[in-house]
Formats: sequence, structure tokens, C-alpha cells
Amino acid sequence: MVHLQFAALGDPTRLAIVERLARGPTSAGDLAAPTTLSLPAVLKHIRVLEEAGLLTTVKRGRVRECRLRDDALVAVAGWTAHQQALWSTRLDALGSLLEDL
Amino acid sequence: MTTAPLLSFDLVRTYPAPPERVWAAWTSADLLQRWACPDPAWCVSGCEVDARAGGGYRLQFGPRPGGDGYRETATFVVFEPVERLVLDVVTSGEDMAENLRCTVLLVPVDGGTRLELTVEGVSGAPTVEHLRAGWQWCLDGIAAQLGAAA
Repeated sequence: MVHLQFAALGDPTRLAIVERLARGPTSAGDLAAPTTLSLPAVLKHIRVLEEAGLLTTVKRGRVRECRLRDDALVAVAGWTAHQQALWSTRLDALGSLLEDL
Repeated sequence: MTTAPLLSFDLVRTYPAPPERVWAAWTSADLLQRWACPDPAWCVSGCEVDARAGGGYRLQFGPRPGGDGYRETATFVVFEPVERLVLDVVTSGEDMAENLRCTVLLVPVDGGTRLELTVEGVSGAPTVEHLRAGWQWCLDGIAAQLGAAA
């Protein structure tokens, strides 16, 4: 599941959706409006995020409302910890290399 | 959708080496491949650098012994030797892809260099220019392969 979540956050469009939803729930149409993407394309990204357990959607009449799940914030913390560990190890390796040169 | 980045962090290191040498470690293939994949169970099987604004690097790495399976392609968005390097990094492997923007600042300090790295998850639709640059890299790579095979 964690792997799915990182893959979901790794896409720029999906990350933008998560960033928007961090400010509060909104409709799929509102998520599509500021982008150049079609509504079906945005719905596809929403489905990936939903499958990764990052958001939930509820259909109210003709509007699909999207809301972040609490898990999304855990995933964001996980992504940051993962990347931080990777780059930290790299910078330490760079330090060892500079000492050897 | 402009807002403070959700995915972002900073790292700082001070190295006992002049900025010129730290800069070279990021922008020469020979040096970059010696620190970019520190996991002892993994190795680098390909590393190319095009050291100029709009250039970038391409790394191929993965578990030993093949060192294959993952590609990291970076575009140098800002290239100001030996002070500031901004790179857009795309990492892809088996069922994963990740987009990052890294900003590297080199500050001369007593006895060495302070390196400040900011890493951000990149959101928003990728610009046409980025896509073009990325694909140009791939096409150049393919052309080189074909040239070598011919």
C-alpha cells in the first residue's frame, strides 16, 4: 500500500490534486478547472488516488465530491522520510568521496 | 494550483573541499556515479552528464550485479557554476515514477563549502518545455545507441 501511495504522489498532477484537497474538500469539476486536463482525465487521477487510499469520493447528485483521507498525511510524512533518507545517504557518500579526492 | 509545496525538505552539509570541487562532483559523470548510488547492494551501470544550462544527467542503477532497473534523468534548469544548481529529477523503475525538483546552493565557508539542498515533490502539469527536454534526452540516447550499433 505504501508503494502504491508513493507512486500516486509521484505524479505531478496527482500531487497537485492532493495539495488542493489539503485546503478542503471540493468537486472533481473544481479540481479540473484550473488545469488544461479534461474531466475524464482528472477522474482517472482521482481513481488512482482513491485506490491508493489517499482520498474518498462521494456522489452528491451530479457532483462528485473529493475529500482527503487522514492516511494521505501519513503518506506525505512517509514520502518525506523516504526521500530524506535517500538524499541524506547520498550527501554523506558525497562527503566521503570529497575526503578521498 | 499554486500553494506552498506539500512535499519538501532541506538538508545541509559542510564539506572540507572548495566549492569548485563540490560543483564538479555534481556535474562530472566520473565523480557523480561514485556517490549517487551509495547502497552497497546496488550499483551504477550507466552515467552521462551534459554540463550546461538545459543539459542534465542520466543515471542507470539497480541491484548488483546488473545495476539495471532504475533510471534517473535530471535536467539542469539553473546552472550557475559554482554557486547554484537547480535540477528537475525524474526517477522511474518497475511500476514507479517520481518527479522532484532539487536546488543545490554552494556557500564558501572557512575551510570548505556549505551545501544546502532543498528537495520538493513537483506538482502541476509538466510544462511542454520540460517534456520536450526530457524526450530530447531520450532521443539523443537512442541515436547514440544506434550510432554505436551501426
